[in-house]
Amino acid sequence: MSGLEVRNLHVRVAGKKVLRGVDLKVEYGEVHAIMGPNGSGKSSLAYTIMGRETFEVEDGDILLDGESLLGLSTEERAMKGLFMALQDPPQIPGVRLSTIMIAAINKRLGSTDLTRVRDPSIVKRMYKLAEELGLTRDILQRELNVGFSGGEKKRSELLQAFIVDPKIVILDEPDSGLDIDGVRKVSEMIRGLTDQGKGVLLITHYARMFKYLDPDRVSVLIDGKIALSGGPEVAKLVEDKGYAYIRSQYMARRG
Amino acid sequence: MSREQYKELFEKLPFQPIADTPTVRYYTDWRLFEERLGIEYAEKEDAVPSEIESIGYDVVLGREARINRRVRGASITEASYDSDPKPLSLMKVSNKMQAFHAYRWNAGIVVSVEEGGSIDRLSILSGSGEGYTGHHIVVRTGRESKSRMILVDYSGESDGLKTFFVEVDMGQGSSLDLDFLALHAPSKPVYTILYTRLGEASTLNVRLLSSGGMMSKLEIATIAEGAKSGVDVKASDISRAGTRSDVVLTALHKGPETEGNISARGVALGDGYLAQRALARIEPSATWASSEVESHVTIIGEKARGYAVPMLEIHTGDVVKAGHEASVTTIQEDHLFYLRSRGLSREEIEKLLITGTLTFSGVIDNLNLSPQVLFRL
Repeated sequence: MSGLEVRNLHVRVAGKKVLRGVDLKVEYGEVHAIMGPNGSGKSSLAYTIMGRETFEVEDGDILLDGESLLGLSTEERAMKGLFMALQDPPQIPGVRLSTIMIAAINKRLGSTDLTRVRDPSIVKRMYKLAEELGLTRDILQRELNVGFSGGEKKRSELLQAFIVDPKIVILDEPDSGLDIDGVRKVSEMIRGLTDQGKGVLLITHYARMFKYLDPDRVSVLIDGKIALSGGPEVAKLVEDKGYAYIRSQYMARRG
Repeated sequence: MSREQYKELFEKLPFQPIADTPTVRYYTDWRLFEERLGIEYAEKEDAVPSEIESIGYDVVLGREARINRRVRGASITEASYDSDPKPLSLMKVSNKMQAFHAYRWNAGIVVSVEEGGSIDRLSILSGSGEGYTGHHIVVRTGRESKSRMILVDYSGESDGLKTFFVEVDMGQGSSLDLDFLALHAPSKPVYTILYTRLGEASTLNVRLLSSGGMMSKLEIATIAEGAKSGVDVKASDISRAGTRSDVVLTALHKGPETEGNISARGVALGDGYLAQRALARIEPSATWASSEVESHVTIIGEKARGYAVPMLEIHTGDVVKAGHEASVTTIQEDHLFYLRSRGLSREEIEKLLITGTLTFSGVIDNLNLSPQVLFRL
């Protein structure tokens, strides 16, 4: 299969089981939305796919284009083509947003000097994308996430996703903290990612993004398992009936 | 005061009258200075690395002051105890090392920027040598003048002791834009002070890049005395393995409607030691002042130590804005994960954090330096 595949994933963090046999696929050019209530394991799934060391895989596999990623470090997975936009990215004084993007690009170009701009067109592209995302140019020279508003953080994460040009983009609640215009803009940009052929794993609490973005697949994660999976109608069901209903239906199915 | 009077003061004054904190006591290890107080004046000057030499200098201070070229819009003369203005007429000598400098400095200049004059670039190198080197610069900017200066405080590999004091008196409506590079090899203690008094509506921009040596005590003190004067200080400080730095950045507000902003970033490597203190004080006369100070130090290296000390004292009820923040961090797991998720290894992340800290103040870009120059010392 081409794209990202998660097979029967069981994960524990700090002794607590957070994922209990998750299966899902993200194909190129599609948005696979993962919905679920607080604590259902959505962010744990994202971190595990990205290889965060505190998330221990007990069973199952994570594959990119059919190749297992287990055993690879976070940076190795990133270099294979995964990118994760964090829900609340940390502030890192001393490192500019432009610096991290230039370093990420240089690394992918095989340069040992990560700070020097090898291709000036990349800087032009950064400015153009920043403007398209509704960011001011000066944000590129600001320290990474330091003093960024909630909206600036979300947009900055997406900006990096476009610049780094990964195969699969994992977006952890890109709509949280955004006003309605922000949600619309971010939704448009996510569609822009799939238009470029990237696969998007979109993690969200709410269906409000789907006014502006039709997901190709929607899965609902409850208590660390996929309780329901399907097309956009699943998101509609979540919006109409809520997670408690889906949980009860799932429990009934399991007997 | 005469040289002899300063010598008497030196014998009376302590290195530091009050301890810094009950736990750290003294951020500066004064013993390293004390051990060298009796050394002779440097006979031989330290060689300056080519990258630092290539900046090009109008004035070089070594065993004596060498004025290489005249600068339009200003007069530059050799300093003496009777110069106009007199050295140490702005700042008050308040500790033993300041008094030591006052009675022993060996080379200096007086720079007077003409009223309404403009200096595009005045670059000054303060070097060092085997033995004691003491340099003193007095700058007076005329009303409505504009100046851009580069100060390089270099201390080379030979054993010795160095003091380097700069006093700046800014006239009404004048502006000074200063790149200050302090590079110290780990072979001698250095005491450096930049003391600036701002007249009405004058503006001072200081960009500092410091790399400490055996023990570097570096003070940048700004006194916003005139109404509506403004100060902006950006600092990048690094303590490499085997070096110690105590960097003190102060904004004192005396005049009404004055503005101050101090932003400092630091990094301590190996077993390096960095104390980075950012202090602001708004006096009762400084009504409607605004002042912000921030200091962030990153520790990279298991034996490195770092302190970020912000201090904000407000003595008036009428303040436009006042804030302070500080942090001392190792590379946290969430930072590491975030940057690794961009494809970078831990080693590459450490390099980026170091480079980012060094480039923060802007000196590296302005002087077209490579960050590597700091590691070749």
